[in-house]
Amino acid sequence: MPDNPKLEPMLEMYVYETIQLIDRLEQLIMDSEVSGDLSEGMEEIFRIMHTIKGNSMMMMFEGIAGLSHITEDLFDYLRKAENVEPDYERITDLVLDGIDHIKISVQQLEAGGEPLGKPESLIQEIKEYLDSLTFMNSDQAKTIQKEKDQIEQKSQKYYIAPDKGDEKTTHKEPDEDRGYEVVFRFSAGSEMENIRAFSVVHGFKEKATDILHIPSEIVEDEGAMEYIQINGFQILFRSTEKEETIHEYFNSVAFAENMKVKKLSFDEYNEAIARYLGTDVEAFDTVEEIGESVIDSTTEVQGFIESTTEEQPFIDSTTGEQPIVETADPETELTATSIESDVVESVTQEETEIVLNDMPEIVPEINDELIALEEKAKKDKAQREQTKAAADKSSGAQNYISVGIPKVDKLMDLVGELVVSESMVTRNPDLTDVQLENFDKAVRQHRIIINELQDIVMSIRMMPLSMTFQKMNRLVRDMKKKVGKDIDFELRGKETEVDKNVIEQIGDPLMHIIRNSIDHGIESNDVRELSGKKSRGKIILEAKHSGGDVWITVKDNGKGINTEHILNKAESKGLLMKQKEEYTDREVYNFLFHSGFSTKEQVTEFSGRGVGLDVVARNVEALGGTIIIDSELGKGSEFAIRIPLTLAIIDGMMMSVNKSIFVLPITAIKESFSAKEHDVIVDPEGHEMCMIRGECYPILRLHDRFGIKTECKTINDGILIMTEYDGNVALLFADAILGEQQVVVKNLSSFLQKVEGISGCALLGDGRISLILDPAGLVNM
Amino acid sequence: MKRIMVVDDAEFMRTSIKIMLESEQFDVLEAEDGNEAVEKYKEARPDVVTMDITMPGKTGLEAIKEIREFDPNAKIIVVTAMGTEFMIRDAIQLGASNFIIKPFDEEQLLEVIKKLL
Repeated sequence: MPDNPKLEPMLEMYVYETIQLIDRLEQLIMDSEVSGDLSEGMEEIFRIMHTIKGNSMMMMFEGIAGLSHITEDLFDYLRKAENVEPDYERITDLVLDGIDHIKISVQQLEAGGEPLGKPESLIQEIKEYLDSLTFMNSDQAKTIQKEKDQIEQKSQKYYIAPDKGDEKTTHKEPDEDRGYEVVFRFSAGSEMENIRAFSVVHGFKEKATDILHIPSEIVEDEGAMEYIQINGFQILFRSTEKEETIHEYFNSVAFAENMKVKKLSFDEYNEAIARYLGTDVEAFDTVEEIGESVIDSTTEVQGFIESTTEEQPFIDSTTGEQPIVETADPETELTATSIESDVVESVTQEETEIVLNDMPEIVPEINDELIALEEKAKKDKAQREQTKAAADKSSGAQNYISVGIPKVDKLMDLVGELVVSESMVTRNPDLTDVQLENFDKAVRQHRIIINELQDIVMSIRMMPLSMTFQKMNRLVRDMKKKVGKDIDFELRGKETEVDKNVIEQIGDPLMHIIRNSIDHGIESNDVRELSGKKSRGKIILEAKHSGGDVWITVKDNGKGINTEHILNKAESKGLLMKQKEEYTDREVYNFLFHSGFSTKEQVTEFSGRGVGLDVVARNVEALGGTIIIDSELGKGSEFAIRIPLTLAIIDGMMMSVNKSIFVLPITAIKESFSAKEHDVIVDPEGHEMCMIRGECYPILRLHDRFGIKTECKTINDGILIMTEYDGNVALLFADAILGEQQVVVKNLSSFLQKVEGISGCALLGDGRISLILDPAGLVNM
Repeated sequence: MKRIMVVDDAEFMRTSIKIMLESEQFDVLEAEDGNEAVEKYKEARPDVVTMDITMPGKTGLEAIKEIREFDPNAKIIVVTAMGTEFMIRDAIQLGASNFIIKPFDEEQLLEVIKKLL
């Protein structure tokens, strides 16, 4: 856990954002492996690693930060270098390993634990690969670095100039123009002290002239950072500002310590200049003289600039001509401290003026050219990034608002209740006999709006299956390698949207089915060839909307399901209820859903670990769906999962058993009637049955089944409701029927055991709670 | 109450900074990219801006430039990672007042902001 207590609420957001980024990353890297082209995804991958690195550093997760850092470096190199042949498979493997590490860490964080430790060996592997690339392209890397340095050096050179421009125009009274020396350190850990020093100087430019500092090279020279850390930073300048203004400025420097601002006398200032410029001290009488000597030294600087710029051709990036910097003698770097007085030629006042007059034009001109070049480079980069951003908008990286799940659930509940209460208003018994034309019109309009509202709210929780399908992609890729079968895996309809709940629950069942298919269904390449099939097996995972349902199917062209094997196994387990020949194929396949029914003797790494098809079936049922198997021996199999889209509200028939109310989905009711005692037959085993139109159906007494005490025990006192499911019929016996009602289905809490025959509960309009009967469970009792 | 605009493309960063600031009674508003930052600056005129200069699209640097053109007194703090010395230098030349390096803690962030106000 992060030490900073303020960051704990951030954990949830960190986990959420990291998961999103990692999923997107996985998608990108796998796409690039397939297409053999990294160039499109590179920028985005780089940014993703950069973001994860930043976030992880804030949360102090060293392992993830270190891993993402080296991966960021790798992709930074890849996106900048030319003529690099990336080894796609190796890169994909490295990145996927990294993704796995991060996924596990995040899972542990989610569960309230700690992230994994630093993956040293993986980081080392990535570093080694990156080093191998840079070694092979060391010349190019050097050139890139050199160009970077040159651009920086050039703009640094001209930095001094603008100060001198100001010098000409200031013309204040002598006693207002004072010299100052400022000395301070930066507090430990403030980082990049040299750049901080730069920002202090830069921010002060307008308030002072002749600014000199030690160390004099602060941006380019990395040694400056250390120097400043150890020795502090010193600035010498002249200023006409009020003393308090100067103090105010330096007191506002962040992270500064031991700040000393000293107003200097003339002598002190003289001395100081010598120190800063490294020149010999000369006595000056007036500030102007001091000023002039400073002008002189810096004029030399400008003269030098001028001479070098006139002689050398300016950098031409298209032809690659040598930039100015190359020919400059590194020893005579254009800084105040390194100007030797003996190199200086005496400059007359006139010449000085000429130079000073021209300076403003020449230097800015060169500066402009340089800036223009930099701008162009920036524009190109920005344009690339813009088109990238535009592409991103239409692909995976979309704009979302994140809303807490409880809010959405509450919204859905309310809309559900709104629908129910609407029907309670419009189907109100008070209105049964009344003809109200205008009212009816209004009701219809009201209905339309509410239906639309319901649709939209349901769709809020709807998300595309793409992420789930992506996981399957990954699973197949990994499994293919491990079992040594070459398989074509096709995804169809990954934009199909389903309720968030479904997304969460459907992953495991799908993975199991696909594992089965790869393990048991698809034969090895050799076997396939022998039997005349294409050596590569194919698995199709498809999702589509049909009617009010979502269909998710897994189809393969493997060896199909052997019904004989299954029947034999069922027989040995004593599960057969009738003769083998009497079983339809469909019924045989259903045996596969029995717990403990695995016809494969070995437990492989991927399947048969006791997570059988029975668990799959239960998961699917929990979503209110059904699963159907179809197969042809030698040709292939198909697993089809059907999940209804609108679960929340059903049309139900209410019935009472003493004080309890049950609701049965209207779709399951065939008819209802009151029976006479003599219509009821009792079979040899004591089961009650009723004969209707020549057919015998079992009676299920609800009060018996659910243990409710009721007065109504004789059949003719109560009512029989003929209920059907999947071809089976039962007659439910209840006290009375109360009427039709739309109800909002709510799941029973998890701590209530699953009761066979009950699929949930509902809140009735008057506040009572009723249990919702599950036809499937009832007819099978 | 002083208003601070936090600009970063990572929601995580925006929210962490926001949490740090809200506990000190700052009014915080957020922007996801350079364009939004410039627009929101013009509308809301925050007292201080924290700007991530590693965002894609309109870079933080451009945004700094535009904001400073619009308001020469704008106070902008650059937020960035190690290894971006030259970008920071550019940012300062464009008018940024100071910078902090990721990872930073609450103290560092508040120190920089308080010194600006």
